[in-house]
Amino acid sequence: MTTTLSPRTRRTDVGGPAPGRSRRRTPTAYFWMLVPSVALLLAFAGYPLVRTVMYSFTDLNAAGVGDIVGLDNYVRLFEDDLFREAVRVTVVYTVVSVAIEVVLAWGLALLLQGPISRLGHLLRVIIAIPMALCPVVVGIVWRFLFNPQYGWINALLGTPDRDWTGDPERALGVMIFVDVWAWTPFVFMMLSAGLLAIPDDIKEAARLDGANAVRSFWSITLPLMMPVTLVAMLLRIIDAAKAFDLPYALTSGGPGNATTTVGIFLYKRGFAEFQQGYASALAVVFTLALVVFAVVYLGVMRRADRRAGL
Amino acid sequence: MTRILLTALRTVAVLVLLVATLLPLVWVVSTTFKSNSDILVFPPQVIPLNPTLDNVVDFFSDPARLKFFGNSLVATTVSTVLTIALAVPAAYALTVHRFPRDVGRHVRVGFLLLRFLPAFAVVVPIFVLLRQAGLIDSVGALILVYTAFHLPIAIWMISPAIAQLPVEVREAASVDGAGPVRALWFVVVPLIRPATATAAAFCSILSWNEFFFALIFTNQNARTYPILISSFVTDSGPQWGAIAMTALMAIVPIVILCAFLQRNLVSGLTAGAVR
Repeated sequence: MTTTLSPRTRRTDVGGPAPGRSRRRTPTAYFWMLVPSVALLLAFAGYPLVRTVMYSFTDLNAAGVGDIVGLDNYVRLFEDDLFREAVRVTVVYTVVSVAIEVVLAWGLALLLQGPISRLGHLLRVIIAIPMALCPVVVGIVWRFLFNPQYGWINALLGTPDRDWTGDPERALGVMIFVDVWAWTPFVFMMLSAGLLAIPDDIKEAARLDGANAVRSFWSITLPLMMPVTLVAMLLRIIDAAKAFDLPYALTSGGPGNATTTVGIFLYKRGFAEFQQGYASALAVVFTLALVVFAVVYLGVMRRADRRAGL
Repeated sequence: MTRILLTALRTVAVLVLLVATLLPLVWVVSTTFKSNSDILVFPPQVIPLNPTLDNVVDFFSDPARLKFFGNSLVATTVSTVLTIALAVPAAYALTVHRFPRDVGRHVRVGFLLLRFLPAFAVVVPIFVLLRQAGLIDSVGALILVYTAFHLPIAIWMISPAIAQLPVEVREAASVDGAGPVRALWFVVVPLIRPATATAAAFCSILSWNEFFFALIFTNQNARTYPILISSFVTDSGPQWGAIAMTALMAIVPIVILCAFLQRNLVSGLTAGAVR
């Protein structure tokens, strides 16, 4: 590894510092500053990623023994009804959560735009708290808030004994609600920063040219805000698609499989049933899907960037 | 007229936002100071009528919960220190030095991509590796994994601060005969303290909250605090006070860090994704 990254173009003496020629010694110092990080990441991300692909062609089990089974895991995956259900749940959860978050955050950002007072600053700190909290804590607390007998939600809504997380019809909705609760502030803050960055003189010029508020929003604010909105959406989509902690704590994937996301499904196969070969194949397919999505998305984003003239 | 309407709308929006945000936090604080008989009342009381410290006392006299709290604290502190110790030199080298053959740029892009790498894509091989090394169910394993996974974020947060240092400052150091190592230690490190502190706080939050790796790599001894909380998933009544207190202890450090981070929280979450 060290040879491939060697920062010297002309190799002269390998051992020991060259006396008095500091210029040739400089790169090695920078090189050694970078090596530990790269090595650690190769060991814990690069190598395991390659191994995951290799394991996906085996039937690795709890004992750590696996024979090569070729494409069996992949064939099984595409015939697995439970997996199909998990994909459906993940897609619904991601699309609905992110859509609601973006709409709510846009509304809030437009309502609360303008210079930030001291009070506004305190407010921002408070609404930032949910996204910094541990998703497991968030899940557990909401689980109790939604408790049918003694939960505060039923008390607030005046619907005594309504079961939320135990009802397959409602559980996914509850999960989406909690995700919206936790992540709308994040999108809101990004959009607020974007709105602040729009120069006033553009809007002023539009107003002098006789554009009303609607026209100004439609022709200036919206196109200029497109890039930041798309970035916020990409970050949220990728994180929501990977959801594991929140469903685990809120509903444990239940009732039945109503809230079993791809993350929960993978955990059950790989670490409750120890079908690690199968889980690896699942991880490969899922990672590829995310990569393809991100690449396509970034292509669309670049077009939007160009349209905004950035 | 429209102005009054807009102000009213704004006030309503802010109030709804505050109530919605604080509701779970109020529940946690309120339930912590209630006795069991007061918890299981419908409709519930927001302000405890007979406040009690039983749940707090129970928490601090429970060796199991204190141990898991300690595990989380150790894993978070040590991995954050390690992450920063590795990230600062790496960010400095990547920012200041032009590596031959564009190696620096490839490494930077690689680090950015790691921010999006799903944990499940690497968890099985790491599990196998740790089992071979005999590190399953040890805090050391968590420290290693957290350090590796939070490094890219720390590097992305620290690099801009180094890039913004005036070139003259670094040049002055080398004119005075300082090599890259001394320039880093005596000139750059003191000047980028704010960015380093932000990155450290951010990595602490991530490690403190981390659940997936902790769930898989620990089973008895090295369990962390979020695992303990998730094990309360029984909906049985009598435990509510204990759960609220346990959750409160998980939330307090985060709130402190949030107040410290303020506006930098979002920049950390989007590290590297926004120019």
